[in-house]
Amino acid sequence: MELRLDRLTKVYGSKIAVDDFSAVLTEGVYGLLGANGAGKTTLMRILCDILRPTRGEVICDNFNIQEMGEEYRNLLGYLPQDFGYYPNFTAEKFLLYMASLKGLDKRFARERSEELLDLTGLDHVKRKKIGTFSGGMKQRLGIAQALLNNPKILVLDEPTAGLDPKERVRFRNLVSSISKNKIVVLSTHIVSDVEYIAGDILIMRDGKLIVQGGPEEILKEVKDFVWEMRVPSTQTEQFTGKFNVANLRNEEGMTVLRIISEECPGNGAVNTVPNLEDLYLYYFADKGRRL
Amino acid sequence: MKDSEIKILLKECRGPEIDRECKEKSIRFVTGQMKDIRVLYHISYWERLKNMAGYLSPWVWAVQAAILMLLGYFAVLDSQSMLPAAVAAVPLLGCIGCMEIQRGYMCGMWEMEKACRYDLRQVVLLKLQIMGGVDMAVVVCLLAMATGRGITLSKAVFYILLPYFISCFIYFTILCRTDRRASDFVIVGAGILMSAVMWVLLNCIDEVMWSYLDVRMEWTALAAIAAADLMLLSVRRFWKICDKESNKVWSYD
Repeated sequence: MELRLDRLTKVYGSKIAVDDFSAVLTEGVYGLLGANGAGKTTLMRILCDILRPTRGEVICDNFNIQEMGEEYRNLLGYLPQDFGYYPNFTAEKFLLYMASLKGLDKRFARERSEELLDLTGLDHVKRKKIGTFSGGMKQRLGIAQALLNNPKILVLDEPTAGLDPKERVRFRNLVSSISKNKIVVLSTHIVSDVEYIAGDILIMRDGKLIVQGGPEEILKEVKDFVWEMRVPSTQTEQFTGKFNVANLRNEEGMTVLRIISEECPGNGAVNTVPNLEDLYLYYFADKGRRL
Repeated sequence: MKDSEIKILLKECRGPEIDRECKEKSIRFVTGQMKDIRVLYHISYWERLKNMAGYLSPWVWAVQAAILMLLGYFAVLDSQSMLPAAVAAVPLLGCIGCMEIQRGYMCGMWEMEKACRYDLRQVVLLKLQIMGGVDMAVVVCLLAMATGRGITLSKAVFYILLPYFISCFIYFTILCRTDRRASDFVIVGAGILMSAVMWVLLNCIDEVMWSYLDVRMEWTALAAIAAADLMLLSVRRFWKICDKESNKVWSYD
């Protein structure tokens, strides 16, 4: 299966939310990284045919998804960023309702709901109202509804927002376990969500795709730009005001700074192995900070 | 070789014996292949209608039933109060349906519904048909009760059918104007206002209209048809825009 995003553009008045975005997605997990307002949610909505692009198209196996209509939505599983629910629904009823909208046979829907409630660890609360669920439980229910029709294309928009680290790890492991033979697109601004599970990372800024590739491949972009240097604690503020500091730790009266900079920040700075967070900070540096 | 000869050969031909291992291997292969086959089940429209009715809020049915029972009570035991009670209750019937239809937007479910096979438009259409059908059934019952208690058909149409159509037109217009984001209070407020207006009409101009002006059935029927057209236009406009994106930017940096 192949999903081709061909020069997608979405304009709202004077604001360009997605700007000439092109990519080819095949089976695997894709991490879409970007800051708030980068256009990730707009792109996710275009992928799910919820929004129509101003220009460009999404092609699924040589067919425009708008022309495919119901057939495309049958392949799709979507977890939106702001996940809503009918408060009087129980978890079980919610899944059966979504199954009816996905056109699943009643008996199959019941079996599949049981299976997914078990997979997501919500079996023991299936008869409780969703309004009583914690944030993590709601997100798990959200992923369960996205998987009801065994989708070939799974779109998850900021699925770990608001979750504690334990829930995030659990969610990550769940996505990894269900991602076989699927196209999974996971948008987030939390680097660790995709660092371990994404085969390909797409970085988005101001609506544009600025980098795409495997984690090792794209880290080469910042290979020589990540520095570590020890400075006296009195000079810390001077460096943090001037450079993009990824990390700061105190050690034996000195401060060890991890700096993202295209030029050497000072005497004693040593190149170090970059990680995905460094790459993110490199592309999303605060305005006015030197790179 | 002739066809008949081929047929004879085929009849006499015996395939190899299928051993157990081969059979199990074939079943495993087919089961694996079937998992990848996507079957689009056909679900009849009637079944989808029934399914959707089962997922509507229980209070929708409860309120409809309560209105009908209350007005039935007045019709049977206190026919004098039946018409004033109907005049107050009928504009609120459409409220219930509209609030239920826009519940998906208010609860944030619309996005997930839109990404499903039977998408948001179809969900809204099903709800419109269910709520519209139930409301019309209640209105017809009220008309029957009213005429059964000696109220003229012309008067019953004017005070029961016409306000229902006009109130629905107003509710759907509000939903269109507010981009499907009208609070329930706005809808209910509009309903209460409509009830108040009809109550005033009943008390102030009823006698003028039916005693002095002698309003005829043809006029009220024409008015009801015009109101029904308006209602259907507003419903159609709402249905057309129900899945349209809002012209708002979703997030700013």
